[in-house]
Amino acid sequence: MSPREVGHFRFSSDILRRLGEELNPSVEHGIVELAKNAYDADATEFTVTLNNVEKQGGTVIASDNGEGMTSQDIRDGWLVLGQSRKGATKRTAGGRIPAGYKGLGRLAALRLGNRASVVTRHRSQKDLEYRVDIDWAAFDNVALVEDVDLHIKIQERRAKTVSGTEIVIDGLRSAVSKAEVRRLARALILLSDPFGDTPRSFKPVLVAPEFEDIARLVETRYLVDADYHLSAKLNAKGRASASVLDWKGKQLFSATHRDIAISRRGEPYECPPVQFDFWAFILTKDTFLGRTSKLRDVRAWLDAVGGVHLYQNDLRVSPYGNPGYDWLDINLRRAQSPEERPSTNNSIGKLLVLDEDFHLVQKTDRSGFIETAGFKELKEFAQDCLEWMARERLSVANRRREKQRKQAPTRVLKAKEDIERAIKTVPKPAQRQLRLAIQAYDTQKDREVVTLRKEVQLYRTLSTAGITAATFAHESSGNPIKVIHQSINAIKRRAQTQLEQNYDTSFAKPVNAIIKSVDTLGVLSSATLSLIDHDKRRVIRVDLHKVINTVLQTFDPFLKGRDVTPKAQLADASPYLRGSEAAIESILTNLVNNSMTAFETEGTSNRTLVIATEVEDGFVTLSVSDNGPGIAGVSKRDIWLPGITTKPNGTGLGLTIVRDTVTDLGGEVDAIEKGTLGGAKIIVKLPILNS
Amino acid sequence: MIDSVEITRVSVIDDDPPARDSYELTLEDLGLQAVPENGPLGDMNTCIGVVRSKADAALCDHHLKVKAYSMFNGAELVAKLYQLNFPAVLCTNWNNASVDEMRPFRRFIASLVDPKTLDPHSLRYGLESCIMEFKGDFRAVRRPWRTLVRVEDMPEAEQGVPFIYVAVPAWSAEIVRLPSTVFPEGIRKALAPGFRLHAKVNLGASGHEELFFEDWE
Repeated sequence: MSPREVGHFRFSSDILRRLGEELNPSVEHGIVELAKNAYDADATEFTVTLNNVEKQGGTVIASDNGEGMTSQDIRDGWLVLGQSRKGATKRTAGGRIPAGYKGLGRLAALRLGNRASVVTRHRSQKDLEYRVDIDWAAFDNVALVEDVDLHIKIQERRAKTVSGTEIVIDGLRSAVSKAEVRRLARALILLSDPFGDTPRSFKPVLVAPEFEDIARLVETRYLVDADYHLSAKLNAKGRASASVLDWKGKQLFSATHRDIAISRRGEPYECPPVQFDFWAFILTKDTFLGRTSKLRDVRAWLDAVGGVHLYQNDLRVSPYGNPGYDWLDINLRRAQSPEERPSTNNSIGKLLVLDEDFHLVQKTDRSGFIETAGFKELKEFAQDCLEWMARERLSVANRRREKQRKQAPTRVLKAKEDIERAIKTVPKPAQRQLRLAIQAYDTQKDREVVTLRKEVQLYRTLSTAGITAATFAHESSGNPIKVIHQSINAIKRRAQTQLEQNYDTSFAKPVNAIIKSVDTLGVLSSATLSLIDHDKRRVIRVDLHKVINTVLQTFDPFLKGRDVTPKAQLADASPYLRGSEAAIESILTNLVNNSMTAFETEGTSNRTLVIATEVEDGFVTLSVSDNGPGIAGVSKRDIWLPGITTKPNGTGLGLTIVRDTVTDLGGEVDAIEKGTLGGAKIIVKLPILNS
Repeated sequence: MIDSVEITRVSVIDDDPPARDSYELTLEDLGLQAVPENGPLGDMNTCIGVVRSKADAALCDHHLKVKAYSMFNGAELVAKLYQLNFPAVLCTNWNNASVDEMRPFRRFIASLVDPKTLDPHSLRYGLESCIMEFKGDFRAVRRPWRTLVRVEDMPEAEQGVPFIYVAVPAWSAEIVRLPSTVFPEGIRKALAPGFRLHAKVNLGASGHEELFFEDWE
């Protein structure tokens, strides 16, 4: 029996590249990790200097005034990669909760260059400093990481030096672009909450003009210009509370846990305590009138440092709040319901999470927190707070609109009083003339108001009819028709089996008639639902001929049911319009409806309906003609007016809708009282895209 | 016996009593016994328990929430039953809006039948499709393939869940509307017109209502 051999996991020197530059490739992430090390060392300052980094081979120097390291700290801490956070929750001598990171970000930073060195002076060792030089090339020639010795040199401290650590990364492997410098500057400024009311105890600085620009923006306190400041708190028991202040600091709304957690029926949030502040701006010239800040400056500031930032124990966690990373779906929710909601362009926020036990755990590649239940709860709390604020703002907006509507008559009266006062200032003979002129104007205006009110009422009535039809379309197409289909098909199947030849002679005709009629009935609901389809209201490139064919197909059972023979005489070209399918359908449907009404009124025989198109000079001319009675009993000019109809129960809105829709599409309408078919011909001229 | 699986009783789930009765005619002609669910159906788990205890398969309408019959729609129920290897056919009228509702569950709806075309033959075919899929055998219209999906448009939502318009070049030039909830949350944030991603899609689908998307990457 041979003695048992012992093996160990060992790491190939390649692992340094994998865990360094490959896992965490950005300059920003690496340097921020060094800043966090400085924070853990109780530094108050952390300064990064970039020398000749715009090209390969440059140098990065990162220094802090923290407590520095002993040789043991270097050997057992700084040089140990991937050490876990366990046991690191004890506060530092300065009372900070250490970030206690795994050292992989530091490795990424050190490997930005071909060489790195650290010089550190511990607070308790006044005469000494330690130095470690790393030449990464040395690792290329060995198999295992531990094959390269890193010497911790002890040297005499230079005169007048304070404690702290200086890291020099030399011979940068690649150039650092201006955009990267700007991202780094932003990340360092935002690392330790710069928006708080108390002075920061940790100030990272990048010696670069980009940093100064952003620092200047951050120092200016634009937060006071926010139109709405949401301040929300989540306590240790998971209970939320919130309030919203206006830009003068007046409280507008306040909420209890139940108001905020409405979608979760008041259940507590299971995550660490949070303070959430969110500032929303109304970026219009009007709102900035009378304020000291300029709209332009606030926009620039929001552009530079906007976003909802997340701080865990005072240090910012990336990528929350980074440009383009809308982690609270603020823009998505605004898209769903735009009124009174902020977007990421006009808001800024921060969540301060006190998480001493590190319930929220960051991913190794520093791309945010692992999506644990705790993190999801935190996110839901923030989103619920924003939802609550949106609900409150919407409610205020509704009340404002209602008030304006009620106040309108009072305002008119006041305006009239103003006019009367003005009239009294002119000579008496002119006063009488002015009063008569204004009286005549009022009469005309009142008539117009009455007409408009009637029109609005008619639109409302028709909308209600449409909504009701759409609501019950499911029922009509769903259940009764389904039952008739199933039953008649069963009758057909069973009768065919049981009666054999007799089925064809006795039952085939009535059964087929029922099946055909049910199909026609089904069209009513499918056509109604088809008209309100969301897709059709999108403004897109619309294929006119396709829409014409679809409308004719939809109407086919109705047209057949009324003995109408439709004909499509479409141009060889394929005209495309900029608009919505709903708009084109609206034009066609109303024109086809008009023709059918005309046939019915007159009792026309051999009913013919022609839809034709012609393409010429960047326009398509669409015409709908019939062989009905033509335009009679009303002038050609008036047929477009609302409420003008020759049918007892007509709405008189069809052609008005056609005219308005065509105008919206940049086109023109015309009519011929008696066209070539003998009946009315409505002509619509529309600009096309493919001229 | 349908495709070697013993099916004798079929649960009929529809909020309209005459509709339930009418389905019975088709089931009888296929030699099956209808077990009507008169409702209310209770919560999803209760409903699934009841259906599985009384029947061997289900025939279900989608619009179950019009009356106080159910708290969920048929697409979700059929998908849940399918995931438990319980054959279920969704029989419903559909328009674009109901296709949107069904889309998140479409992968687990092996058979969608228009009531107009429901007869013993199409019902048997639908049940067979389920049983085949439980064995990993997909009909051509349902077989998923890894393919490219391109985001074409992301208009602002008028109401409710926003829609993402995508093209599946390997399927057709037709643009397909998908509720944004079809995409995993992590991917949703990255979506923008022109964005390309991969998913498993049943490229043999004959209409957009049959398409399902899974395993986004």
